[in-house]
Amino acid sequence: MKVTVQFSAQLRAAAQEAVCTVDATEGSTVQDVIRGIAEEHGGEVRSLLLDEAGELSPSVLIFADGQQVLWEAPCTVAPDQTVIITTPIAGG
Amino acid sequence: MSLGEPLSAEERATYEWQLDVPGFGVEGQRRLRDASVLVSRLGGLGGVVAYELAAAGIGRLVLAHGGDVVPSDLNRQLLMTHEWLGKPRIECATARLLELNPRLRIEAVGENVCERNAERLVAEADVIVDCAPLFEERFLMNREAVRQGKPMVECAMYELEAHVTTIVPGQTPCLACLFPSDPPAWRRRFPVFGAVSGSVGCLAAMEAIKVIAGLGEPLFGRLLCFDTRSMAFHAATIRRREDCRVCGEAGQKGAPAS
Repeated sequence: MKVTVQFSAQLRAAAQEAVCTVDATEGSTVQDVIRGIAEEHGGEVRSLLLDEAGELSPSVLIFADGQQVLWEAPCTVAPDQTVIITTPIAGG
Repeated sequence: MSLGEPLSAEERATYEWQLDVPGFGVEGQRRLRDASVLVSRLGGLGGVVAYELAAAGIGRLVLAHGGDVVPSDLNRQLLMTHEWLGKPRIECATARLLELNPRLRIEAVGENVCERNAERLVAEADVIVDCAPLFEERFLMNREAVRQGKPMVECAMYELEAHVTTIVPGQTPCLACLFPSDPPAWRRRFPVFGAVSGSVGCLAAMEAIKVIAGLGEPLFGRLLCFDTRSMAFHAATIRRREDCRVCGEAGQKGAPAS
């Protein structure tokens, strides 16, 4: 099934794209999708999304259907769902 | 909140356009006049927050910003002007704000929020607006806002994007719920337009006004995200973390980490 993933803030700049479409298998989670994106892109995208242990950085914000998804709470993706990933930003 | 003196004729004349806003009125204006807001840093975000609050008739601003005006401030820091280059930002900002609203009381602090001053600065205000560029400062204000039970408006920007939410300790996620650890990839200098920081600064000022006046529906437990490339706006529900080091059970029992 197709899942749309939107990149925001530093992640968008690192990925050099704002949106991508991912083929996700039935029963996979938002967290699985993000791990896949991190591994596929590698480099700066991976370092923004994953910590040294390969776990999602706890400060990455994930939203699905207008709700925040916490890394530690697996959330099954739905067909044609849009997932938004954003990295922390500040003022200045 | 008990309200002080009735509005003066000057105040009524100055604020007549907003006094007519349903749900605000004279009582809302008096609440603003009797309130104090801490704005941390007066850059592209904080300068606009302070200016809008001054225009709206906030009674008192506690302003914290160190350093002198430099050329790279001038693309977005609307309180700073060319003739103040090389002079203290806090003095420039104070002068500009008082030109707009001479009734405004200002506590001007010529340094950024730090471990030494955070508790006192937060204690001086009814509402905090966090506009700082460094997460160290942001986490300090969050810690003190939670400790002291003060609402805090969180605003941020990057390139053409921005976020804003309003934290109410004990009710909504705090900054440490959103970002449990110091983001290692964040850099002090980042790309942004002044029109983006100004946009989110206006929204943050409106949040502060709403919280003080009891107006509308502040962004409690919601993060407003917008992207001015596409002019796409969305507000997502955000979640408290029970194990939050600041507002969670562990943080409330002991001295929370910053």
